[in-house]
Amino acid sequence: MEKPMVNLSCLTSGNAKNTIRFLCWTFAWSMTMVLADKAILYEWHSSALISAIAIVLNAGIGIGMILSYLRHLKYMDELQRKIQLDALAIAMGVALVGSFSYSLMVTAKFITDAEVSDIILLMTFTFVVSVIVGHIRYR
Amino acid sequence: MKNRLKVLRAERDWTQADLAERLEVSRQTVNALEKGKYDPSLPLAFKIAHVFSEPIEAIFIYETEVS
Repeated sequence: MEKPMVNLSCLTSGNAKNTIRFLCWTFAWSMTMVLADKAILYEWHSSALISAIAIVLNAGIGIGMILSYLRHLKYMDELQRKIQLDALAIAMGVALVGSFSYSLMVTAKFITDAEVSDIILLMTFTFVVSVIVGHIRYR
Repeated sequence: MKNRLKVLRAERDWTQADLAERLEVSRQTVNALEKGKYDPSLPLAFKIAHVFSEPIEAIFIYETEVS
């Protein structure tokens, strides 16, 4: 059997490395978000400066997470990118429609304690499910 | 769009992983292409043609809808 001329195992390992890097950024962003939120909510400190630093740090790590995702996308092939694009479109659509429906429910007083995090959770869940469905569809 | 990827690959005794490595795509993409679940972009179609040393029209068959 004729062996492949080009060894592209680096492509696979590079992609795996980028996936892990992206997951680390996402984890760091989530943790700084939770810590900043709880610190402010439960008044772990009284300094506005510490709160501001925590918010800026969280936003900075968030930017790192976005850049890491873009790098992650760069290493994917066109089918994998299509799966991500489809999932992003569905998640974006669900978030848009969901947020307006949610807003109407708040106005109608069907919901009393509205949280932005509910929409973010819905968006994240939709994205993850859509990626899984995409992988199953093109399996 | 139909294609002869599986036949051409079998003629050369390549696995899906071998072809994926040559095309610089994942094995999942090769599988989806072979099953006709996914149509490649023009650059990838040219790459496939180059790898098999065949013209694009000899690999991909465009099917017009017959009413």
